[in-house]
Amino acid sequence: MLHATTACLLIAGAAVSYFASTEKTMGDAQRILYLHVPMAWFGLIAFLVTAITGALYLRSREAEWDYWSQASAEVGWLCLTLTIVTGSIWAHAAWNTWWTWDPRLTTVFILWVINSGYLLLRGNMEDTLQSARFRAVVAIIGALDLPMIVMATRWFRGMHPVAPRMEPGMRVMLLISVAVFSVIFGILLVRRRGHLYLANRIALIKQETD
Amino acid sequence: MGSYVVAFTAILLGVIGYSIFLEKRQRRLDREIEILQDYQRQSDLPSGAKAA
Repeated sequence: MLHATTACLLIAGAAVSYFASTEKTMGDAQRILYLHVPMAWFGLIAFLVTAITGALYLRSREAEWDYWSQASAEVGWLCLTLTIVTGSIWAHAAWNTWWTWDPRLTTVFILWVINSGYLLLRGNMEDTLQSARFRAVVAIIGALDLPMIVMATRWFRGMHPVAPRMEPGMRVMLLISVAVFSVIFGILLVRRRGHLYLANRIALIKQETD
Repeated sequence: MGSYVVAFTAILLGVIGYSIFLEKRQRRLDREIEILQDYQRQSDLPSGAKAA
């Protein structure tokens, strides 16, 4: 798995470095777009999956939904963290500041805090069933931030661009980048869900043998 | 190119770091399964064979 994710990343990095055209105003810093945008999309999608599977868990009480919810929250946290990091690097190059309380940036930061809270709940509650219920509720409430993030640039005035126009070549490169990252995060998500399932099975067998 | 390289390195570190964490976790789970299987094999054996 490590080899597969590393190979995918290097392919994406090489494609962006060699085949993406250099933008006139921002120059090479604009290439961060091909990393930042897929990270942001997958961060939002992962949290949406966390909330949906959380809701399904609340409805059915089947542990399977909780495994998907947890795995998605972890991968989503990674994506959101990398969104903030790459965005900050890009902001420094484009706006000459690492961070500004722009509506889009603030709403993404709020989602990152909620996602962190979700992961902390898992680690700090002993009753696993109660913890799973709490986590599902946190994910559903947290998902209310998603439309705010998507509409932040339209509803409020800020520095973050709304929907910049792109050349067809740039759009193709962005799609390639999204495809590569979807493979990477798909692998990580499925693997993590497998771990959670296996760990639960082992815990059950241990309980039976004790 | 500098800021792009820094951003790409951050992603490389993040994704590879998480992949390594998952690999280690997988190895730990595999070891636990092996221990459980050994334990089950041992408990399936008749008491005389266990002593041998």
